[in-house]
Amino acid sequence: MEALLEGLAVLFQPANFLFMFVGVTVGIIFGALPGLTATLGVAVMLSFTFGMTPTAAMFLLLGVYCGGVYGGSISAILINTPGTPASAATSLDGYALARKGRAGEALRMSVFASAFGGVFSAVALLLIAPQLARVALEFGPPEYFALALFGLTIIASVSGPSVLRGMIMGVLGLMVATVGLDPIEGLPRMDFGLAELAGGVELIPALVGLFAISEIVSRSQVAHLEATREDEFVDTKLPFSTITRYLKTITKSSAIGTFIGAVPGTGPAIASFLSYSEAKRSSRNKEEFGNGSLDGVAAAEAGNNGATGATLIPLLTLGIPGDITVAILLGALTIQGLAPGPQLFTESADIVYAIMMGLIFINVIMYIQGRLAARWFARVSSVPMNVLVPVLLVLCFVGSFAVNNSLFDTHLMMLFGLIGYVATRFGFPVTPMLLGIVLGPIAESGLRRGLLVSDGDWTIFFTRPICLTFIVLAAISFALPLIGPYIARRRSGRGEASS
Amino acid sequence: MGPAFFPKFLSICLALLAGGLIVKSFLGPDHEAGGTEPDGVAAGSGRPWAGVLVFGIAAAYTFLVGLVGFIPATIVCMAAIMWILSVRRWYLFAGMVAFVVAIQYVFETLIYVQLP
Repeated sequence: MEALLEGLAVLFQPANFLFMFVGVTVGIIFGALPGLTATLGVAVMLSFTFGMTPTAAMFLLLGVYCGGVYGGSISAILINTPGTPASAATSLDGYALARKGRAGEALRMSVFASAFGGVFSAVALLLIAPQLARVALEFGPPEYFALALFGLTIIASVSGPSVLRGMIMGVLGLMVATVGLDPIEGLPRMDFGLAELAGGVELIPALVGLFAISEIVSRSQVAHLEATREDEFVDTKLPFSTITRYLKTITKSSAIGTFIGAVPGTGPAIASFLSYSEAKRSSRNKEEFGNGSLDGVAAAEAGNNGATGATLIPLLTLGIPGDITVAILLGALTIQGLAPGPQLFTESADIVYAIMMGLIFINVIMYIQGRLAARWFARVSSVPMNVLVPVLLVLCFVGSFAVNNSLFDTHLMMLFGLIGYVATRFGFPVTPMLLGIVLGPIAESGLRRGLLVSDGDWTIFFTRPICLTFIVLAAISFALPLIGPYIARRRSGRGEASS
Repeated sequence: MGPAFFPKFLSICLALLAGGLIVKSFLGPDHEAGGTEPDGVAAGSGRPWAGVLVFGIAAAYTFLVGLVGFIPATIVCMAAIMWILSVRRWYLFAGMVAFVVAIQYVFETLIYVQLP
């Protein structure tokens, strides 16, 4: 309790709130621009933290992180171009809403769900971090494989009308993920002798190509036309009373995001897809998903921002960075002379609690900024497409180039753009391919490491409680969309017979 | 289980799924085959060749930028794309040039990304 009060004293310094504000603004800009990610934003801002106090430095970087994860939803909703991989699920319904002239509603739902998920995650960090860290530590290779397998069953939820086509794209994504050095023996695979592919296919050029370039090519065909009445700028409101109808979905998705975020090596993208899938599974209006469902936007955004605070759980309690962004935060703490891990709670408890409570305020600031700016963001819908296309192309180029300072990544971006355009044109959804690229490395590495640990014994995947739970969930999640319509037909058949 | 297992396993899965899709196409009309098209294209007022040209110029741009540098390549290629997309107002072209210069300034000075 004493440490908590000391933390409050450290937190309530005006400069801290200024850095939170600046961090969130920078993060939203980085997240909203296609190709620029929260990770790049945090890396860039790291150099500005030299000479700051530890709390001010962390608030600046956490502001960028949270703002970046939220910011990705803005371009996902307005131009069907997820700013970050974590916002790919948001574009499924967000863009459909924007096309119906309801961009304002989607943006407001997105910022509310993001802030709620972020606050939920921060409170979990404050209250149950040690317990969640213990569960996260139970994750070995078999659990990662089972989690990835469960994640892949989401393909059925994000495939639109044709699950078979979605599965083909998912497998293609998994194949793309096998390009480069294999994760166990380091042997090159399918790299065509190109040194640039030795490290595998970068996620950002693939994301930008599949979503942004294919959309740009598609929209270019009608860019010369004047805006129709439906396309004209309309800032649709979303009253708080309406938002409360989605609180159940938002709370559940925040909890999923928090749990997934606490597991090192996962992150907001997986959390977002899992939350979206669960929201669709439990919804009474499944047919709305993919066609403009506010539930879908709420679930995806609460899920990905729910992971932001939780990624700090293994970092602060155990000193384990869960992903690249958190590794940079670890670097920032080290620069400040702090060593993350159990001793941090005894040696610098005031700073740790200030950071945890500050995360709540960062999400509140993010909500205020997002809410105030939603009207201006929504105006992007009114920019003529023939002006927007070259602007987006330049941003896509620099975003993909900036990943490795490599022109090869921009060529990859164009290749994925072609794949995305042709696939969409013939009814093959691109989201499952992205899911395959994200989950492929986790699945393969988990499976092969798991079998190495067990000496080739496959029962290891069925004898560990967490692993078995995910495998059973995966089996149910895979089977339900296939047998669900059959069960529904039988029920309706019985109903007609009895009447 | 060696490095070849996963790619081979996925290839078999892909072949089976593709086979399933072929069989499905023989069983009846494939209502799910129709992809998404922008509203204007479906209505017959779109220009599919514009999409092809924009993609071609963008692909060429990713090579050209390495040869002549970011600012000249971007200005030439984006101006060509704007012209194809029926932009005719001079101030929009001037705005695009200013945008390209601003992007280079932001990336090289603030984000420390050295553009080609």
